[in-house]
Amino acid sequence: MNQVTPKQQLKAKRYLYFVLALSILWIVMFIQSQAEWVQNIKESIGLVPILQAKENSFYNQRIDPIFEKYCVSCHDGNKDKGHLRLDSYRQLTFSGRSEADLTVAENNLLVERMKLPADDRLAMPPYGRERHSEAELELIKLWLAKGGSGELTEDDFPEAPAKAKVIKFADINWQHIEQLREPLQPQVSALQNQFPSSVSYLARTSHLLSVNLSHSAMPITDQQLTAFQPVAELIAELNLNRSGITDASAQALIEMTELQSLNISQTQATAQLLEQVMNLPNLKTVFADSKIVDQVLLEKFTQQGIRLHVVERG
Amino acid sequence: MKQIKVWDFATRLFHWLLVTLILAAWYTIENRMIEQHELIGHALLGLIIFRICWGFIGSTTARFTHFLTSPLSALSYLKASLTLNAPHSSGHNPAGGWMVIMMLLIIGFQLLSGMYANDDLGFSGALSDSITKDMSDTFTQLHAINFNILVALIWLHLVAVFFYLLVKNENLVRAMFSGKKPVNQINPQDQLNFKPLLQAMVCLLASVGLGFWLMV
Repeated sequence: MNQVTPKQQLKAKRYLYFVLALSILWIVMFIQSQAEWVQNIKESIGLVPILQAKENSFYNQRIDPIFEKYCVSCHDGNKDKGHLRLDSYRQLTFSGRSEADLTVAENNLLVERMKLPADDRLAMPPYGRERHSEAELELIKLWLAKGGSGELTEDDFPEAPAKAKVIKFADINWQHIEQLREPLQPQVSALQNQFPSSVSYLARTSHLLSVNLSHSAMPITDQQLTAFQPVAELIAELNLNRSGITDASAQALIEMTELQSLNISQTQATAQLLEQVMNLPNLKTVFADSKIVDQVLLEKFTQQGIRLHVVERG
Repeated sequence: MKQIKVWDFATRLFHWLLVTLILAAWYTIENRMIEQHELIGHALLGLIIFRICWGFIGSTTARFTHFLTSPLSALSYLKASLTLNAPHSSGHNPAGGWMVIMMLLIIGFQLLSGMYANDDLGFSGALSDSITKDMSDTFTQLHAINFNILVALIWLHLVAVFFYLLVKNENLVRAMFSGKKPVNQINPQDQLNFKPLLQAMVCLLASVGLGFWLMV
């Protein structure tokens, strides 16, 4: 082993300091290249406000849905290809590995890549993936032309084409409908057998019944109508046109608390029956013969918010 | 000064091929040349398999038994190095020996994770079909993270090499090209034996063949 001279020791010291400085510089540069870390640090010590787009911003309303549709499957928190995330305005500003500012209009790398022909090696979305329309790309360009802001709202972009209306249907809770139907299902089935083609549910999504007894070969009587008493609370529509019912059915009808539509035209029923059903809480429409309806009764129905259709007998 | 052979041709070839292929792997992935990146990965795999084999059957300075010491010895060596009192080694010194092991492990994991990775654009590593897509995605992320660890290791390696060159006046780079060191920079007690080049080439070809066999 050679004797160590002071000069060598000084050299070693200098070298190690140099390496330490270089390593620190390298670490600092590495941290600086992590835009999200830098932003988090600045936010946590209060140097800058939290970076995010306003809820009603043009970005959130019009631009984010485009990225969501075409980009986010590869550029989100789970799979940040090229270290780029497009799942929020905040992440977009961190720009990914390119470190290019993606909120400026000029030479915007994102737009440049989206403009490339679909089969280009560098095209985004890549070849084979669902691709944005020209109109969507124009919308992004328009947003960038006004500064790529997370603050500006749709009012600031009057030239932007109107947003396509999206019709959304409420989710149907089939289990809940089944639960509502289940308690009286046997009684409903029995009535469907007893009165074929006369009893059905209002819709697949409803537990309420529509009962049409007007086309029975044998006109239904007051007595027969009592057969519906077990399901009275489910009947929403009842057509008794040309049936044999009289005012004696009033009690059976009053029990139909969900009844919305009633047709008693061309029956033996009188104004007395109409007076009694008028207070049903859900009743909206009634069809009755003109001979039993006078002006006073009409006004009473109007006051109750029920449309009374007067049927002239032919 | 008289020069003594310390590195056989196979070990030197391995070292510089490793450097070249790692640079090529980095270049190809940066330029979205995934097919070439995969080819380089399998070549690297063959190279790593060769180095492991050569660590058991190769020349003295290439063998694990020659340079693997206890971690405490390695730390003592590092401490002595900083005060310039470390003894000379013919091949890898105790700290360098552990660097070799770390490199093999990190590069090995980089290759393994690459074979399980995918790029969501039609490319999937040779073994990625044997695991779920979610797991493949996880390996893809680990592949990227592990690269940073590899860069840090390379940095440490370079710091050590330049420490020898600039402070201790030992040119390890030249030694890795020529295979020789000045006689005063080796451990005179070491009895060095070198295996025939043919043996090394057969081993290298078999390893590279194995590396590419996984690809097909």
